Amino acid sequence: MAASGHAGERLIEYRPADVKESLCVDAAGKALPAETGRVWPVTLRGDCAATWFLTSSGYWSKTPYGTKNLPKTEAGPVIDSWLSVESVKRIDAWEAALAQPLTRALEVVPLANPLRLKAGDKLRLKVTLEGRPVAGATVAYFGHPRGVSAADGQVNLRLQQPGLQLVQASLETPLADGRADRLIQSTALQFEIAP
Amino acid sequence: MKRLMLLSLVCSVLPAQAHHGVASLGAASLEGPGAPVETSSSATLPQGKWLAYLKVDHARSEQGILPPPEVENDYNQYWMLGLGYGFTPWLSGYLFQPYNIKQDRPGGYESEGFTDVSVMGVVGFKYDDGFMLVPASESLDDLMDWHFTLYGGLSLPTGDADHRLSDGSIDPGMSLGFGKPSFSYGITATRQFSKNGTAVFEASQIRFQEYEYDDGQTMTFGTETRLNGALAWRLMTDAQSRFRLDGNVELNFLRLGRDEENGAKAEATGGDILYAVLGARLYKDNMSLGLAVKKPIWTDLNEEDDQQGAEGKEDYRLIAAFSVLF
Repeated sequence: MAASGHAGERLIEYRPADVKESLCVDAAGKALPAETGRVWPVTLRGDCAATWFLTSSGYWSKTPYGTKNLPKTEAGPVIDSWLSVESVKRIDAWEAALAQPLTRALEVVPLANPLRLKAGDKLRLKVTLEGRPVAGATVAYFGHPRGVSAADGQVNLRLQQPGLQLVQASLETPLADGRADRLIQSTALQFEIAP
Repeated sequence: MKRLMLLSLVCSVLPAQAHHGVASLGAASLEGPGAPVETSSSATLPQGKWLAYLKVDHARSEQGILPPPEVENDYNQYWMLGLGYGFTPWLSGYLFQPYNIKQDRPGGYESEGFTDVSVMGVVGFKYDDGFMLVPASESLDDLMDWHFTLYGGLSLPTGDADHRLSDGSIDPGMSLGFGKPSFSYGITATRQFSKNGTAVFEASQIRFQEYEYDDGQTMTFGTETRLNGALAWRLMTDAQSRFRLDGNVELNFLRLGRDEENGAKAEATGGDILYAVLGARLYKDNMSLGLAVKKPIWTDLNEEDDQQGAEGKEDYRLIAAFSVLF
């Protein structure tokens, strides 16, 4: 739940239709039936140890006249184009099953319980795609790039502050669907540690 | 537990639609640990990468300590051309070719030329909940762990140890080689302790073998022991132009063993010297330039008044080191 009252929190309006998938996982790592809201802000109601959302704002094309939310086939003269896919995972309770990817999308997976860490500790992560480790994903801590995932998908970050934690990963790959040049996948992991 | 999750969390994801992905972090050198000019840091070369290296050390001797100097601007100049290669993330190999210009004798003698080639191997390891070899990929936070290197190498007698001066004599101190391999080994420790600050420590030794020169004299140069400490501080970074400027301060302790000439301990050789080094290092793309002034600030030389033109007797040393990774 993002509305946690942290300083700097802000809500950004989006199209509820951009939400493509959602997942509620119990402490055993089992997907639970959960109700996904259809109006802004989209909500997921369930008894979740971890929650996950996947969104896509669709195709984007950079043109001489600005960036348009269209595939390159519909945007006129195009300088660059990409498909944007984003996801976010929040962990509120830990079980060993959460040390494995929950989805086939780009995902940041803690190798051990991150909720027990404290500021200054190292957070050991694995970045996965299609359930397998992926190399070359840029990993950031609160928006500041700190590393790139290795061949085994692993990357380590040091938690620099107590409370809410935000780890982001981004991966760019060529896209061959004819509608954009690149697929840009971004994902975030959120959890909280003791203040 | 009941959880109600607002999708506004997504706003914390890197806004892929707003830009073209996150910039590559190939900028580790822009934010990672600094490297002093004289003290060796604990960095190993990336696997499969080459490093070309050129260093010049211009040592200007004190004036007035020699008998009326017949040579103006007595100095020694040590050039070093190096080539390194990263065999693995934790094993680097280097080849060095020095070129020396020595012009510090009151008689006006000088020697100049290529000296002994040396080879060196460097093993890098780190401490991260235990000791481990340096992995292929490290985040900026991993780079802030303690890093270490162990290195060892030897010089090969490719230089002209029997180089004769203009009067036909051989002065081992002016020779262009040691005649036999010398052996060096050392350990470094590096810790980036803050966003901008890096501490570096190094201990090393060079040991020499006895060599008999063409004129029959023998010489075993004294063992050189070095203990270095350095602080590198990042002064500015411009990520857009991939430029970084560090300031460096170093203390270099050098213990020179007494030379052995013809089997006997030589007078007026050896002693202890403490150098202060003030320098800067610039990084641009895959290049780095280190500049420093090195000055002896304390000496305890054997028969100090009789020592001439040796380490510890310099007025100052100017050091420039350029390297490029490719």
